Amino acid sequence: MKQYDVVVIGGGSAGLAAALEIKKQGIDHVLILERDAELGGILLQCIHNGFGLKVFKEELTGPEYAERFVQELLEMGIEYKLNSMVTKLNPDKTIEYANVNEGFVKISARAVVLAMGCYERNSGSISIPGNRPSGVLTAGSAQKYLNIDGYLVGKRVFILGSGDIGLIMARRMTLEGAKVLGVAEVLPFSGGLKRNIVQCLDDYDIPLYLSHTVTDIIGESKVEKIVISQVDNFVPIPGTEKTFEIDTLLLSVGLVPENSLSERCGIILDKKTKGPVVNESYQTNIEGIFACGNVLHVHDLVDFVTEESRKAGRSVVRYLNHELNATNNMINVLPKNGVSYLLPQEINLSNLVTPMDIFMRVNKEFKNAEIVISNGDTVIKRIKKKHLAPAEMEKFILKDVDLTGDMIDINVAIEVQS
Amino acid sequence: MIEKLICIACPMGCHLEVDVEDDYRVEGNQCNRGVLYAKKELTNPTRIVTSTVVIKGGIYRRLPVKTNGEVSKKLIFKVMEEINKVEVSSPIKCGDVIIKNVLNTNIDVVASRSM
Amino acid sequence: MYDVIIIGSGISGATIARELSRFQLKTIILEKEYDVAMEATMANSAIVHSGHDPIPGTLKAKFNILGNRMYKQMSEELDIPYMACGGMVTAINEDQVHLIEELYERALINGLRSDEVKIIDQETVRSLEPNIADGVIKALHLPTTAVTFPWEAAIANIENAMDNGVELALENKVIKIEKLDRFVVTTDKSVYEAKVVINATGVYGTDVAKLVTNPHFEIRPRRGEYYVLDKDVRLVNSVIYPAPSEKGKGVIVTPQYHGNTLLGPTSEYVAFSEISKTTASGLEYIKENVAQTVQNIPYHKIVRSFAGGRATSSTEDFVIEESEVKGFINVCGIESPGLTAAPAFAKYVVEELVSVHFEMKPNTDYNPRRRKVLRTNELTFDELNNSFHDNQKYGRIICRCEKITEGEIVDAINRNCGARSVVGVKNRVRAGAGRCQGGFCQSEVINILARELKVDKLDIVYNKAGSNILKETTKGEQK
Repeated sequence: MKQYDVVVIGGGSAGLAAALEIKKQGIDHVLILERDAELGGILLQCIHNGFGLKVFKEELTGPEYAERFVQELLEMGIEYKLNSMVTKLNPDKTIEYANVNEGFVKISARAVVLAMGCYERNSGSISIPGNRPSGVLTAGSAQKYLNIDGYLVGKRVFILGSGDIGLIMARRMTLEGAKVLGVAEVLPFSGGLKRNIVQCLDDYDIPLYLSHTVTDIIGESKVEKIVISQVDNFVPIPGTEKTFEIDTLLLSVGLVPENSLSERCGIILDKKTKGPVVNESYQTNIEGIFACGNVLHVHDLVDFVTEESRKAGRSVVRYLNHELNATNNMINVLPKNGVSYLLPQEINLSNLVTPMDIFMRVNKEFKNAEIVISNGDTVIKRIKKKHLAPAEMEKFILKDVDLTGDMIDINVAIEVQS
Repeated sequence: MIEKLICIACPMGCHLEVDVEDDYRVEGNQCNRGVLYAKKELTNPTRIVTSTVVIKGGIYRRLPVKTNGEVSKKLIFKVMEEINKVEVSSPIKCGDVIIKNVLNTNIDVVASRSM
Repeated sequence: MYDVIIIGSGISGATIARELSRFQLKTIILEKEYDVAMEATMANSAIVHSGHDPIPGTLKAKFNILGNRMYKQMSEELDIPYMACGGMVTAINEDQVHLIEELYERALINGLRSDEVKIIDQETVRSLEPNIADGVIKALHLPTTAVTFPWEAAIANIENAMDNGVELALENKVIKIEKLDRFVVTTDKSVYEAKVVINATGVYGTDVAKLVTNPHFEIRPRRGEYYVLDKDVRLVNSVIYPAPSEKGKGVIVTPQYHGNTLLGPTSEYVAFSEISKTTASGLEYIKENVAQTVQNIPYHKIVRSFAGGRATSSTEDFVIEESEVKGFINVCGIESPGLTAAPAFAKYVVEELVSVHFEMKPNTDYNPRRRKVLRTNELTFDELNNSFHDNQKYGRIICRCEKITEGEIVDAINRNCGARSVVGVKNRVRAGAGRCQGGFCQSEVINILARELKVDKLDIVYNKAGSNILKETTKGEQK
């Protein structure tokens, strides 16, 4: 059985950044296992611009962003295997994968980085009432057909969900000759970035129906019509139905971290993020298995994925160099009022490197609010925010000075200023 | 007159309030890009255009491309017409010019990946 | 000129076709859809019922028991998934305890042996089913209840029938049947002639029967809606029925062979156009009802919901008989327990109803076995490598969620009664049946279908004619 220092599962933005960081810190035997035909992950189908402003201080498209990492990876001579699907991950950090050249292979690693990304919620997971015709597909799969393969999945399109991929696809399909009739969002606010509402919908006069959802899908072999209705707290309001004649319904209703491998390995997941519970070192409950990127929690921006994955990479190196202290000096980072989740969920104070980024999402929209961070009941700091929304990931920094005295648990809540 | 805009210069999405009569004085921005964006958006709005062109001999049948600068919003569909006419052959390097000076805008359409 | 035309390729037509292929008869199946088994067989609970439930003396009772006893052998011969998981009918109050006591008696009358049915107490129920609802106080335990994979059951029967000489004509909707000295069956594509015609058209049973006879029964579609939970949810070990009500067997929790859990069905008479529609109210009804029998249901693990129509006869029983027009045989009203009963009534149809029209010479070349399906999911690590060494395509995983290889997909396309649509692939090998519902693998499945069938990707359909997934190429590029 071949032995590696680190095996990175997934060669998308997270896996690439983590592997590069690990190699740069002097670890030699690193392997990336990628299930697709190329490195780069979903970035390759995200041909729009808007990536890299933080990491490269310039605005790049997805493929350009990916290519910079792949180039560096090639220069550093990091080993990778394409078209290679990991079929099993074991707690002892042995891994099974398959590809057409080698068949089914078992390898082992001293440390593993989970970087499998996420999958799209789909018509199955959201149980839309109505028929099950063709022409109902996720925005991401339509994006791949369009941008990689050169096929339009339809000419008269409606989009359910205002996630970023749906917004981006509204513009892409319009540019390629389709008519996009509207976007419905069940919540009273958009799930996507505001810039995408402006440059993908407003620019092309595509209406956004907030507090609306699809209440019927009509069509035997292919979708012919959909009915949308206004909702009151998720319940459709009778009499508000609008019918659209379409040939395609795209779904942009959220992303879910892809953790079937992790779950079967016994890695504990956070109910909210659907990703592994990790500590300050991005280490899961299984020693030596780390996670970063969208497999951990869904990010808005690839730049954040890169930053997070580099940090995870540095932790992996500390782990391999026996610098991570196993003694339990653990405190929890707990979401309170208004907070949906926080990441990491735990901090081992002995291993903490400050300043430490804590990522969070709120559970509804807030205006003129404060993020209140406390140690137990004692407020450590308050951060003023004009605007907070679930679609926008927030970040705050914990410094040494914030972590003095007896640390109990870190509680984070949102308070609205009166 | 105060115009309300959402800045699209970066993913922050700042809510801008622009005083058109006071030389497009901007509030609500978090960086200087917001100031530039506000004036341009209210005088001559421009956008980057991204799409694909047909490629022969590559691992896929489409090569992603982008304009290497912003073109006037009014020209987006005209630029698309130009992009749709193009066919290239592999190998292409990221940044290769696919259409020089598209529609006399002084902007090129360039490959946004190698293939 | 055929000896027998079977109209319909659901589980009834499929099992009858295989039974007929044991004899020297020239048989063809006519199916209106793009693939076989697209209606009721596609949307049901997948249960091989024990036979405890039908009213004694009915055809349902008779063929249910017989079918249950035949299923294991049929599954072995045809390599159809079969899971002998057992089942239980639960009672949550004293009235329901009386009901399951009545069912106990009924089961014995129907022919279950005394070791095949037992009333068990709350503690035993709990030990067998940790997620049983707190309110369940007793249950009728049915160890002979099992679970199959209904599409594959139908597909395997047809494939085996075709291996033994039966023909299949898809996309042939019967529009006219004339009775001369023979039957002349006109479809929207062609004309077929045969001495005997078997009407196995499910919810369309009356419509087809009316083309040539005056049926004494009326078939109405009764819709059932279902939820499917992801395969990593091991909610129940056996089939959990509620105590029966006037609405039939009620909302059942069914473990599936591949690990998923099925919740449903509802039961509602609907117009033909509404058969496959799920509704918000129906799905809500499932949630409410299922709570009485099973708890800790992780609804966030739903991967799909669907609806299907069951062919309910006005006679409240199967209609399996030769009509007043000699040689026209109705196999109608095949609702639950039809999936279980099919191998038994297929034998009856062939041996008792078809046989009077022919000299039944055995087909000496008949092979009851279907070529084994290589399911990489069920192989050990070493077996995986053996299959890979025979064919590299078994090393290329296409469906990430269900771990289905290219080798399995290619095999499913190239068998008799092979897949030719995206859903056809899914129904045969489960590529796209997992949590991402084909989000990642659909484009690759289209590539493989186009390559194997030697057609353009634009011509690959989702499930039915006209359901093409890719509408056109961009940039005006030609095919």
